[in-house]
Amino acid sequence: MTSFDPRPLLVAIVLASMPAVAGARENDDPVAEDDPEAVQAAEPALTWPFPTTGISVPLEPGLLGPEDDAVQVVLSVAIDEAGVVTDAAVATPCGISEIDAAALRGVKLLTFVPSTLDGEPVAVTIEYPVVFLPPEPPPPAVLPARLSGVVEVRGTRDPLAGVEMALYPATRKPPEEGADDEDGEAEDDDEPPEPDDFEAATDPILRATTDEAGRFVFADVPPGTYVVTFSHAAHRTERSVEVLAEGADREVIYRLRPTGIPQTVVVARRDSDGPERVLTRDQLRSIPGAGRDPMAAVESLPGVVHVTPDFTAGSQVQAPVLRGAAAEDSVLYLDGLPVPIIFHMLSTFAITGDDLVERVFLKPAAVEARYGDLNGGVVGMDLRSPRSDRVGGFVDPGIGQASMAIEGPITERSRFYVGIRRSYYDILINLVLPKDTPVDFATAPFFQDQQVILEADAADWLTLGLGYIGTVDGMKLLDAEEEEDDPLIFDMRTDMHRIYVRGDMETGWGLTNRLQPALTFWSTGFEFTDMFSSSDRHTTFHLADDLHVPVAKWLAFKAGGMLEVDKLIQHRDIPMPSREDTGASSVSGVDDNVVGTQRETRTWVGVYATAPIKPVKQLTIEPMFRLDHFGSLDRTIPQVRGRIGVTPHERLRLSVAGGRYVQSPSFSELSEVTGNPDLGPEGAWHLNGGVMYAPGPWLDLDLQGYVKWLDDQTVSSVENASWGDLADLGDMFGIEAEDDPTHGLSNDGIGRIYGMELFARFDISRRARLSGWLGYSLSWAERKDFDDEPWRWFQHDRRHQITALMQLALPFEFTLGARWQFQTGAPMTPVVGSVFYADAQMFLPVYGDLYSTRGLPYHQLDLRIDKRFRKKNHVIDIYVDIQNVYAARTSDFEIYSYDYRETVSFSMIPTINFAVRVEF
Amino acid sequence: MRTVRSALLVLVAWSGLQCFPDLPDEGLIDNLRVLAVQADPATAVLDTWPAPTITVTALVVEPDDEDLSGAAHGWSLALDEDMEGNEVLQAMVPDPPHGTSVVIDPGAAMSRSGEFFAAMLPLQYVVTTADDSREAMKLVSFFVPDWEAGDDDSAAPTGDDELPEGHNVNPSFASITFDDGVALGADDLPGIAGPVYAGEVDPALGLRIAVEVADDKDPEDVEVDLYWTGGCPGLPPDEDTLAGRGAGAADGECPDTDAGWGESSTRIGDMEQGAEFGWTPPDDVTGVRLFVVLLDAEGGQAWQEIRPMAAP
Repeated sequence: MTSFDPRPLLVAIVLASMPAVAGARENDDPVAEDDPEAVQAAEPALTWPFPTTGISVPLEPGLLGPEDDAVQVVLSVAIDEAGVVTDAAVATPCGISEIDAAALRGVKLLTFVPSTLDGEPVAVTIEYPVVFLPPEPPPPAVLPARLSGVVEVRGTRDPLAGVEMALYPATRKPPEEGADDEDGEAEDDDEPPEPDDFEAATDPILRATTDEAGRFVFADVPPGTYVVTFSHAAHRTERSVEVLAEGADREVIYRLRPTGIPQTVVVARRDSDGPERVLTRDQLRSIPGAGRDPMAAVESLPGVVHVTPDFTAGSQVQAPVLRGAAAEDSVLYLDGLPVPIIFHMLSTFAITGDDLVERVFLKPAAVEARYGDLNGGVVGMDLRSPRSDRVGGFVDPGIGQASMAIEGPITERSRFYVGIRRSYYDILINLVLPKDTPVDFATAPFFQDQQVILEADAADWLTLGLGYIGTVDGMKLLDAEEEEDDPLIFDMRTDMHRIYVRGDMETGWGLTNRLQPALTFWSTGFEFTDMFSSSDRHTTFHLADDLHVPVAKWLAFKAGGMLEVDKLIQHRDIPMPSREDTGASSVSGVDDNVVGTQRETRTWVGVYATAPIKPVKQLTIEPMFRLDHFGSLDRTIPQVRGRIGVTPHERLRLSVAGGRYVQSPSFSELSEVTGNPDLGPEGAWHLNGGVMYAPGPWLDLDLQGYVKWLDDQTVSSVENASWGDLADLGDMFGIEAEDDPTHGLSNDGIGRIYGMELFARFDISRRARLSGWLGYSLSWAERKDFDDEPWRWFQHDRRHQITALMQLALPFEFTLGARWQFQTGAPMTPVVGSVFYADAQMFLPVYGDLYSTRGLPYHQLDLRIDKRFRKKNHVIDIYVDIQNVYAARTSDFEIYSYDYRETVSFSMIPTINFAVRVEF
Repeated sequence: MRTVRSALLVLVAWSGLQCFPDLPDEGLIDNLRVLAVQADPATAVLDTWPAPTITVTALVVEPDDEDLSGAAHGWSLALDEDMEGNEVLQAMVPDPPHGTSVVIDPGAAMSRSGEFFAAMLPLQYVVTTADDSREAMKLVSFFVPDWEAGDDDSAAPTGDDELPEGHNVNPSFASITFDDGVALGADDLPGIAGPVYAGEVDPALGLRIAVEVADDKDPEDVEVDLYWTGGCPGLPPDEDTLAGRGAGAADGECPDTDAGWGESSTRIGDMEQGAEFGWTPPDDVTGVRLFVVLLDAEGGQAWQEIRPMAAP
């Protein structure tokens, strides 16, 4: 063997001293080679040679194993006077020639202290035993360890995908002198080791990334002590010390804290060539001035007009005012279906809290063909699926209202959500209202909503859902001093209960289809003493289907339809209602109430088809067609719409959208009791052009210009009551009042709305994150009720509208926010004088031209502070939202002096909204 | 009515409003005002020939012009121009010049027996001074014979005991009592014809006015209101209250009783058949006048002027 590998070659040890001596003794005497006699004579003075060094002689593998006994070879070794081995031969072989040879090779490498005779070196030949010891058994194999687990968000326990993980060998730092002596406390063995107490290597020995479920694995890790680092965007990097014993298989859960710096607040959809803005669930929860309400958050977007809060019950107009349209011209969608009620009657809160809402979208105009029966825009709330990973929920005591929810998996393929919210103003009012108050809250103001959702994966391609959305509001005021039978002063009530089934199908090649039948029971009611009463009770069935088929890479096909059957009972005992664009009216008596009850079933069927075409990557053309049949009008109306979008540069998108829109007049307008059953549909043409430009990731500019032409609008020819109308002479002069079956309503109105919106969104992130947007809207909304009338301002005309919103996200999930809104004062019909009406001892106003002046501008500043505390298994969310910080004086609430000669506006005091939510 | 107002207040408070702006008190007459218009009779029955006339009188007050020497008055029927019979009806109102009263003469023979139906005409009154103008409207109610009915079994009204249903008479005062002392009965109250005198009023004590309405009407249907051209509504606050509120009427400002809501109901107590008011005089009561106005549910009115001084 020429090469030497100490482990596999084993070791042959030439026992130099003791075996040599022993060998000499065993061989009796050493013999002087040159002179035997002299050797004999000098026997007493002959010394033994002994080796000066020891050597190891490797053996070939397999000759001697650890399990074998030691092997001895006796050699005859000739040593000269210098101690050099001059010759060697095997005297007694061991039986293995290779070992004998190895012994010979080895002995020749030895040098000896020569033998001496009487002090003189002499050459001798000795028998020299060489012993080969068996090799030591190899050390046992070291078993690697395994470290695996899940990385989740601290508190919410949501799994985090894409977490970068690294494993660094580490050693404990020597304790600092006196470090433990200062407080005299010994180190607690139960405390997990702190990463700062360890010195980690510069380079990791292993890296990993978490999957969609947040899982990671470090396999084949040498036993030892390690520092694990895990980092993720928008989360703080964390470290942990792991001591891995040999063969250990350690499963861990690591929790990351978000930096507290939220993602982009508003996303201007790049995949839509129509004007559309979306607020996601996380964004909805932190808009200054909006509490956590989804619909209040929408009102922060440009194009949504602030209107005076309307607490009138019985109003079926709940949609926000979008781009100068009448509220009733826009429609509300809840999870894909039209919904008649989306606000609570006695508040501005939406009927579902933020927890269940996945996103809210705003389409202010030029909406796609899926949506029908509208002249304005669409505001929708989409609900999320219940969580399937674990049971969770929240409790939120709130101010004035409390809410809670629980959700989680039922089986591996099914899940549930149950939530409820109820106000407790009624309890507070009853506590603070003096006993001798002349009014009695038979039903103190309250609102409540509840949601139940069950969802199951029936197959890999099919998800089924069953849901219930409900809301109940009420308030009833009695005259505590009234001893007669009818003490009612005021009664308002609203309720809605929707049950729906949903089937979502998605194939592997991109075909999707959603089928959604729903049954909704809803009603509104309003009574004021015995003067007015109004109620609506509806049972509405919806069946909607939406299909999307990807035909080719450059072509898709979308189609669907909606059936709505509404069975209603409508009762009215009210003054002749005026449409919102017919202005103020004088009411000098109750004799003119329209009274009646109507029962009817109304049907609306709409179908649509679109085909997005991408002839080139940068260009999208989407022709759209829609067909609506309104049963109550007995009309079937086709509508053509379309969209074109082009991307000349990766940062620039140009788009045009528009088309024809029609809607049925409202229930009241078609009612035999209060309206004109012969009214026709109202129509509109929309045209919208958009430029979206993103010069960088920190800024997104969205400029929209639009025009809308309205035709066949329902208007009222009923003018304000004149004093002459009060003349009652019976048939003295042949005058006989005739009932007008049209109630003065006709389709003679036209309108025009045009303007532009600039929406600049910024997102600047360093150690903190400053994000928000600046929205500006310039708009004209004008109406012309009859041909012989001039154009006039529409009720919702707002020339200028500004919204500035900023959020500063600081570390430790501490966020400051501010929102300031301004808009031009709303058009008002001025009071130009008054008449003292002696029979009632009161003044009545005399109005000027319809909407010929404006009220005070609306403006408001809101501030907000958010802080999130994360515990191991739950999160505590706290926010303080201060609305109307500087108590702006607006025209939202104005009152006149007794003779209408003076007007004063109320200042709403700042409102502090404070909430603590515990999510688990 | 008070209950409804209270309810509205609660509703307004509910809506979150906190800053109540100040508005003039309706009870304080600080400019040209029409406080009431009385038709006498409140409901005329035109069943005699010549037809009875209707005297319509406006209670007009100009604080700086007690005699209304600089005021012009106009009366007319507020009928639509295209109303059939407009010209004939307008002839019921005499030609100008007009004063605070006008006599409406139906001027047509309506005396025949038969059924009656209610009729109503809006009578407009405009008073104009050099600086101001006010307009008031009064619905003049009367019963007109049904000419189509002819002589049949229907009983023709021949006297007060057979008035048609819906016939109304103006409310009237049963008494007005000052400071629980001097009580003026119905015979002592001239009503719209002139003032009564309450005597000297101690500014420290104020004037307590108890108004009792004649019991021929349901008291719930008669509204009683007090108006004043000077002073303050309510009795003077005691010293402790004044300390909390600052200056009182003596300094020309009224304690914050009803300010802000244009509330004319300054009563300090309700009576079974009327109301009780308090009033605090200013330092100088010269020219100061108070008016108690009655209004019934059908628009019938009456009033009494009160002067806070000794009778001349």
